[in-house]
Amino acid sequence: MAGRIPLVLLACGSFNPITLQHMRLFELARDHMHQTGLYRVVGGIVSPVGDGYGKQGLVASKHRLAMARLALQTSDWVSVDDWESQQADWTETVVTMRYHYGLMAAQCHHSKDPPTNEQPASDVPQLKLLCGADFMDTFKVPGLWRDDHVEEVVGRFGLVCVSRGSRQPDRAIHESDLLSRHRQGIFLVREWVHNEISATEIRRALRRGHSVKYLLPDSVIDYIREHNLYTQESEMKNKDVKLRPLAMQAIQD
Amino acid sequence: MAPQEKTKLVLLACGSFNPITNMHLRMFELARDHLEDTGRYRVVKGILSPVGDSYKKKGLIGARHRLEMARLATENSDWITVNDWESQQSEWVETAKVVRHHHAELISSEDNDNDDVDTVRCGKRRKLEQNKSICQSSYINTNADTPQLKFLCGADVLESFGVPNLWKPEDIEEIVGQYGVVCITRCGSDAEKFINQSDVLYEHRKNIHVVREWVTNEISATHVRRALRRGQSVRYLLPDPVVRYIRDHSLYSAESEQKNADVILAPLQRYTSTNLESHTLHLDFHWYSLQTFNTMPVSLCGTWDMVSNVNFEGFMIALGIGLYTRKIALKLKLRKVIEQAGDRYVVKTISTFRNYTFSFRVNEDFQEFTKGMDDRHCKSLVAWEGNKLVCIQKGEKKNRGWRHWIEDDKLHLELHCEDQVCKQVFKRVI
Repeated sequence: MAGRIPLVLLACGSFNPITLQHMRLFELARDHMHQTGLYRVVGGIVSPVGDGYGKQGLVASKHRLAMARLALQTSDWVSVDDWESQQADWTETVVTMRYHYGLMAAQCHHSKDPPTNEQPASDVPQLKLLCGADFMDTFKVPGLWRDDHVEEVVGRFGLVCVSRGSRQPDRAIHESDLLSRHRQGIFLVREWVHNEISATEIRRALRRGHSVKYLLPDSVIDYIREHNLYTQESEMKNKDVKLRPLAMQAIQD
Repeated sequence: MAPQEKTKLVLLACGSFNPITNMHLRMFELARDHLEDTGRYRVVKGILSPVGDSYKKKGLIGARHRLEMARLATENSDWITVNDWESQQSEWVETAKVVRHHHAELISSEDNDNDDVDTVRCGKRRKLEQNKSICQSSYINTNADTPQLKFLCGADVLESFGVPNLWKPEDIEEIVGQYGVVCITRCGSDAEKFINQSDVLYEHRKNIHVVREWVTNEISATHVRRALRRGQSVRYLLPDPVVRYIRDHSLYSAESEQKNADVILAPLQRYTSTNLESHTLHLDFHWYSLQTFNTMPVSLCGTWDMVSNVNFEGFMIALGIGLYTRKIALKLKLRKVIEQAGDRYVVKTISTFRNYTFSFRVNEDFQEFTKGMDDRHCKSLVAWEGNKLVCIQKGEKKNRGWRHWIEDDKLHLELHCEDQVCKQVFKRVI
């Protein structure tokens, strides 16, 4: 794949818990980006959100990290990163992206001689945000995103969005002037196999003692059982707490 | 809590498993949860029974691969197993027979059953122990210790009961009435409505357990094969060992998908008597799917010239044909012309001496008058048995009939009457 742009896919999210569907996103996105003929996917990063996000039912990040690591043990290109979850406060997605891009750029420049004609500085991989179609709808939620952040995520970096069930991300793009403006930075991947393993449903099944085998890797299921995660109690966590990004916005208003 | 008697259950799923996917495996898990939630059942075993190669479904790869992939997929399940009996049979086996076979196995192995894994629920959480220790239980299992066998399938299979000539009515009755069905539904499929609309299903509705799939999980094997052909990833749709196996053996190519493309699905060969030329049946459903077809096996139709004729004399004597006619007949080089006209088949036997023509619809009785041969009236019936077209001619002569089949590009014919068998072979002219 000579001459192609190296690309790293970054997925931010709760991963509460990580499911086979999350892992499918990476596989689908990689296939799609390769098929454009323009890109060569060189890595994938799972970045679980920090506990400060305040989402209802969110279990401690140390567990979510451990489960993600177990799930990705056998992957040779996707890894888990804990920087985001280690930050004191909830971190905007764009900040996480800037961090990872900076890291990659620094690594590239240290390992190379100064850029020459044959090896231009643009050997730093591009970083794109990988997400599902439901993520596109979040852009519509008032106060959840800052306009300049959306601009940066979609415009400067780029988005790879995997459609999910009947959700059509086209509509979300169409309904947003901001997104429409950066249409060329948004790659839509059509998932033909309807496979909507929602983590919410998984947690419900676990509370009820139902099987989640073949929806999560066995290693993750074992971990959940050993640590007795996902109970009635854990689902009530943050029940009365406002989602952090909304809380921050309220303060700023 | 008072001790309860629970019925032991074994779930049997038949299908192509071409290849097995996480969705197939999920079906077992969902079914078990549902049945055990009723408090009346204890699911002790699951059986995956891949169909044999003689099912002749388009794109069906060799049974040994499908078996091995299913084994790999279930190696870390402590209750789901793979069974090869169905795939080892030389001809396609009706589902009812497979169910019957496994039921008989259950009864006979009840005494020395070592694989009975106890999946008793403890409290609200199911604990799957790796070793086979029996969980502390307040449930008592009394006399009716033989597990019941239930047929596990997707809603599509239930709906396929309505497809003409895919199932024998008595088989449906047996599976639903005597054994019972556990049916996993998906969004967009209304199993209850279908049950309501079918008399036989409605009659046995108490034996049909409908399980709603709470995760939309439509990992169809067709999609998986398509992705593989296109070099796309199928990771996390199938268990990892299966993904590796497929890669190591280079299964599922454009070529493998064309296998059986011109062949008719076995059950349709066996049962059908409908207008095959003008009906194109194209149904795509979960574990059984029909390919589009509009002709009988091309192979039998054509013009064929005789190359060998063994024991024609013995056969004719059994028919009571006179010496003079026999002497002439033995010298003849016969030609067979087999044609299809709509849903009727016409078979002509042509020679310089006499011609004989008869026509029929498969599975439909017809009156036959063997004019010019032994001049007898028979009530004849032609049916498919596997890849052989078999005719029984009921009449004055006992054990009379014939069978046609293709082997090594030649048309074979076995004629029998009483204890005599005549074997003829023809090579294709056109």
